[in-house]
Amino acid sequence: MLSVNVLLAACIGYVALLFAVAFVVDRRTRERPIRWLQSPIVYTLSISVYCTSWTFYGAVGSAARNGLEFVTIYLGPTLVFVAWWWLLRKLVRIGRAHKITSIADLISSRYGKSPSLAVLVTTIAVIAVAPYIALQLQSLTSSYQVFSGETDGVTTAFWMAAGLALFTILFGTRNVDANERHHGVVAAIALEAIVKLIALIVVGVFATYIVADGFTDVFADVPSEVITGAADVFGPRWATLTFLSATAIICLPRQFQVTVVENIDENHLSTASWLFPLYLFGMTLFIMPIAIVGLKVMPAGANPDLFVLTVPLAQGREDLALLAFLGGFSSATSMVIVAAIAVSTMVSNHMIMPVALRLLSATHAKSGDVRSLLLISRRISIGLILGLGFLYFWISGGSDALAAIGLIAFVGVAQFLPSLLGGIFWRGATRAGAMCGLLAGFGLWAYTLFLPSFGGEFLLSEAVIRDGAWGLAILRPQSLFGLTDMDPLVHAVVWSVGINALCFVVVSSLSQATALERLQGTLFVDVFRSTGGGPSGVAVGAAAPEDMFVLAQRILGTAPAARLFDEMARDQGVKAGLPYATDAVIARLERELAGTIGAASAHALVTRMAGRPALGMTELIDIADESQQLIETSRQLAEKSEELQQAATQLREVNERLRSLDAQKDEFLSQVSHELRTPMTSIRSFSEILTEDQDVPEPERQRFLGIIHDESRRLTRLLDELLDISRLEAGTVNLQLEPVDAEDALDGALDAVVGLTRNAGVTVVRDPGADGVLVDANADRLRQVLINILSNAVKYNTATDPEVRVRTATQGAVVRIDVIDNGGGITREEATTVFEKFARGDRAHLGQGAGLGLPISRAIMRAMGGDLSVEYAGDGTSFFRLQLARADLDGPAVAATAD
Amino acid sequence: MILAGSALAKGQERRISQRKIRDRSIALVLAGIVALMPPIAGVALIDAKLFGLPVALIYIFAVWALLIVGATMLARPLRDSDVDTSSADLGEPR
Repeated sequence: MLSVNVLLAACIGYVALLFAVAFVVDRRTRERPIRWLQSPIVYTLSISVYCTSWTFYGAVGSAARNGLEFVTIYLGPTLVFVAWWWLLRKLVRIGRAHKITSIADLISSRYGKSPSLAVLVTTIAVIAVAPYIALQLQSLTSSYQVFSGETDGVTTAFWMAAGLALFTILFGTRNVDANERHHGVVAAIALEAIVKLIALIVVGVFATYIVADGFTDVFADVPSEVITGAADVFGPRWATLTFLSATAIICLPRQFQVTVVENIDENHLSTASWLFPLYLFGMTLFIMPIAIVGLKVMPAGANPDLFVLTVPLAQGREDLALLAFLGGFSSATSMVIVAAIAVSTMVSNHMIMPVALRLLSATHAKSGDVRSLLLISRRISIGLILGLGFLYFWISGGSDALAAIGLIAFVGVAQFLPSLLGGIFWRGATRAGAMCGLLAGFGLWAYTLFLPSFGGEFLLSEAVIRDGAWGLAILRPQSLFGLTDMDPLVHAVVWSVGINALCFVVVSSLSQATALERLQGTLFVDVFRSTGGGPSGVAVGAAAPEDMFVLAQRILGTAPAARLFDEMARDQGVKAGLPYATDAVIARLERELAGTIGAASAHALVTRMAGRPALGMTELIDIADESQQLIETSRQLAEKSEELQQAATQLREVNERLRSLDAQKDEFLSQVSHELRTPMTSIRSFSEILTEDQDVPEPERQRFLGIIHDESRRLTRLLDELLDISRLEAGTVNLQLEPVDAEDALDGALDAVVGLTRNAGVTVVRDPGADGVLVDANADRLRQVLINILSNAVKYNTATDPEVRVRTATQGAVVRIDVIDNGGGITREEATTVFEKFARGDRAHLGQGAGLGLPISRAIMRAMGGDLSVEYAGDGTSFFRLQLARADLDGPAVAATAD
Repeated sequence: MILAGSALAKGQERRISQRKIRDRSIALVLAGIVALMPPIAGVALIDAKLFGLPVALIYIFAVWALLIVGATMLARPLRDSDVDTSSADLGEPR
């Protein structure tokens, strides 16, 4: 058996090696960056801090207990990294552009640099990390106990915690450079990543090929329950675990630290996108074989969490056991170092610094005092975090399986997910929403998972865990509101993350964002469109460059502050002295300070120094709304151009109409002049004959004078008609309507044309009609229309036995008068033109009208609220129909329904 | 004019191929999620062995390996599809 002394010596030697690596790298980097350390491979290896002793020891234990389920813890991160382009890339870009120092800083910065949100996130992180650190303590302790044979786990764990705290303080806060990148630590972590991978693979190969005879032999007589664990291995718990691990790779403070904060080149992500999943693949490849070999060769009841160590020991391979121990030690220490650094940064930046800055601002300032305070506060925080981890280990008794403890921490940090994703993808997310979501999720996590994990030893008694608070079954922590028959972990995730996300979305949509929130929201969501950190929203005004310099010295240290201000002065073209306190300088200063003390503190500090937080809120809103406005403007432009197009189309249509109207007018004028010309010509020629030739015999002279008289009367009539029709069409004639008996009007018209009919030998048939019906009409005008229609019917009748039939009828509120002749009628084509001015039917040569009779008649009928139209009977013959409104009924005017 | 036209066409082609690469990256992630999550993952729950290994084990690790291969193939094209991402530090060095 390996002696404890050898073990301790190996540990100390290993730690010394790590320390030397970190030290050398830090020192060399300060002079000049080391090329290969800036490579994507080192970046990927540092991300492998994800694989803690939970992976190294716990995964084998998990595989031995639940079969394949352990893989979920690595599938989630694999999926997230394969999807790096959509999420991690954005996180890294935001982190670099805004000099984000931690996940608490990111969330607080996004929601208007809110100090209270930073405190809340930090609190959750501190509490959630405690079980995770306890897990490392437990694995370290039990692996040590395998060799030492001691049973007092608590004492061992205490010394482990103390040693790790010291180790982390020396590692993480030895650094006096005021930035959040730890090149030395990253190099050491990368080395540890290689050690643990090699150790696990070596043990795996040993178990598979030395203890057993290859993979086939390992799985030879293994029942399928051992592989699949529960009957429904691919069930809700599988999905939940994958979701949790995917969340953890983003939200765990230490993962955020190595992936986002320590990132030196965005392109490294593209390598990590496949290399990190490959690393995980390698780590897990031998987990299942080790677990199965362990189950086979180890006595029943042996702790499966320690198979990695005990299988080689049982085979008498102490060298392999030592390597395995160092691998486990490596996993645990790297996790503790990075987690403690990440969380202590949050604690000191968001909890200690704001208070300290307030106190210090009253005292006399001296260079770098804030920096030393910063280092001290971080050291205290590291002690506090490891102390909490130890407390958790102590109170919970450290008896659970490793994986179960780790999952508690996973669900805890999963509470950050809604605010984080919402913050970088949803402009509408507000501080109030994030606050409510985080509080609700944190409370539910504590009640349903964290506190019950103490088994009644802390805050919640065993009775409460079993029967619910105040004995109310509905409040049972592990079946809240009657949600029973569920895996406790799935139950806790559903409640805490579900309610968290719900609160976040609902409250965000109900609450109003402040100007700074909107500004930060725009900068974060549109990070790929904005340039750099953008305006930080600080009032420029009374800030004196000297004050700014003093502030920078206090926080960054003398030399870095001098470098920064020299650079800014050079940029402004100032040869010697301090730069002017322009917007850009103040924004830059705030960003630099944020890189050390977090966005919220830096914002508060610079704003206070600048005298007022007054920066025109309208300006802020303008910036935040800039992109919105751009979208709005382009939308309006699109609308405008559409309007213009419509207007152009309308103009074209109007133009067409005007053109055709113009053509109609020209035609009309030529027709009018033609009509006027004929009588004028005969008047002129006859009057010339009479004037020039005095010898015209008296009878001839009388005949000529008669013609002149007739033609001038015809001219007058034509002009009267033209005047009439233009007035009727223009609507300037106000016809006096009165109730007129339709039959009487018809009789009068027939009497007037009786001479005409008798001469033409036309038979007039009058069908019995609607007797005594009154219509709205002007009696004289109606008579004029009827005479016109009747005389047309007589004049243009070419039948051998001419006949005109007249009838009246009422239909509802309309009275119809039909005039039907047997003279050939009007074709359908003619029906459309017959009402046009100067248009005459085929039989026009039979008469001498100017072609204005029908247009005038129709205009009159319409002016009286009626109509005149050509209708067709069933046998295809045409007839004229007059329609008028009945005067004794209050019916609608015919014009509204006709035509 | 001809030169400008072909440059334009090239730019457009480039944009299309960039979109294609991003579409593929989404497709890969979705395929991974579907294959690894219930209910589809349940197809591997067969009490049988392939090359002496349980089918469920082989299935999960095979999908995983394919995801890694896919990610490896897409890593560089994806990286090059964003002209904004410079290899240098963004903004001022810290």
